[in-house]
Amino acid sequence: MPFQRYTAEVLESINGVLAPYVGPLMARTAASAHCRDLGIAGGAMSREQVEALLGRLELGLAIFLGRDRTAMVVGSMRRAIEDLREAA
Amino acid sequence: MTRRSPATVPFVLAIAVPVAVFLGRMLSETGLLWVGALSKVLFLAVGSLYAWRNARRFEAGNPARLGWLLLGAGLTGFTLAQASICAYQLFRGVAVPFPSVGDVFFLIGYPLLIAALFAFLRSYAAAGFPIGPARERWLLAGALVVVCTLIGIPILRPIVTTPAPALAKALNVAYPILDFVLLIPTVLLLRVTFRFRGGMVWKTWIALLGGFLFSFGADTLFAYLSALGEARFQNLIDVLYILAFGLIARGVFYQHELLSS
Repeated sequence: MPFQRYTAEVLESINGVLAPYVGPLMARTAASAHCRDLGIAGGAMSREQVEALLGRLELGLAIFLGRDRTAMVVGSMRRAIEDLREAA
Repeated sequence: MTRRSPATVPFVLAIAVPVAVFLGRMLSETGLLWVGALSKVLFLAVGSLYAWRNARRFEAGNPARLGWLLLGAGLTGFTLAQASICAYQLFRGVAVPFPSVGDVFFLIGYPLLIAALFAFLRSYAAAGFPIGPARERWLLAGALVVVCTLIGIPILRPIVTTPAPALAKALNVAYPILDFVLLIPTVLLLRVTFRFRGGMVWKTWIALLGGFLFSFGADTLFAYLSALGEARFQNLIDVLYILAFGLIARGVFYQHELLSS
């Protein structure tokens, strides 16, 4: 069965990890804006879409947090998304 | 991540104690001179040291690295300038001549700090976070230029019209102009920073930019009152400088904690 996660739950997981660093407002708007730019509009996300979104966030975060801390933060996001239930 | 940094209390005390000493006039004039001079140079040295360390922590190719390098260099210029003022005030026991070697370091430091803030602005715009359209920043910059010109003219007028040696007058004009130029990226970055409120990035930048705002206030007040020959508010100016350099040091150290913890 291919990897599928509900978009809303992915965004919620990302917000939870990102907010302590960039604040709740920026965490919410950043992930949503990247989704829009990447054309992620459906109710579920494939692994490729999740990785594309994380890649975008990683590029931006590295400017504020440096490469090492960013890798740690993005790793936490990836683990949180992995733990989400499979989308039907 | 949201817990209080262990450095917060020492920084708050290091800023609050000299401020209280000045506001309460708890020491003699000589005592105040020592507290003011040493706290300013110490904060600048800490800010400069950790800005360099932050630059080293950002990998080559990271757009933020240039901003931290320039900030480190600019704060080093200010540290040397303030140290030279300390040497005159505390160890030679003479009034600081104007111009002095300190002005050379200040004049090196200012363009570096201005370049640093513009470099940060550029790198943060490139980060891909929704910080608002570039057009909005250009409009704000244009509005700031107009406001700075309107405020700057009455501040500069007494400086220009007061008789003084040419070099001293040129410096007295240059400093407020440099402050106004520095104010533009400071306000633009503040606009961006408000979108990050509540996070660690916000803490770094609100402290750092708050420091630059206090520095602008202190410099402007100093230039204006000096031109009028008014010396009554020297303690207030010292308080503003302590707040300015203390907040800059705190902001730089927040970033260090963010990169290394």
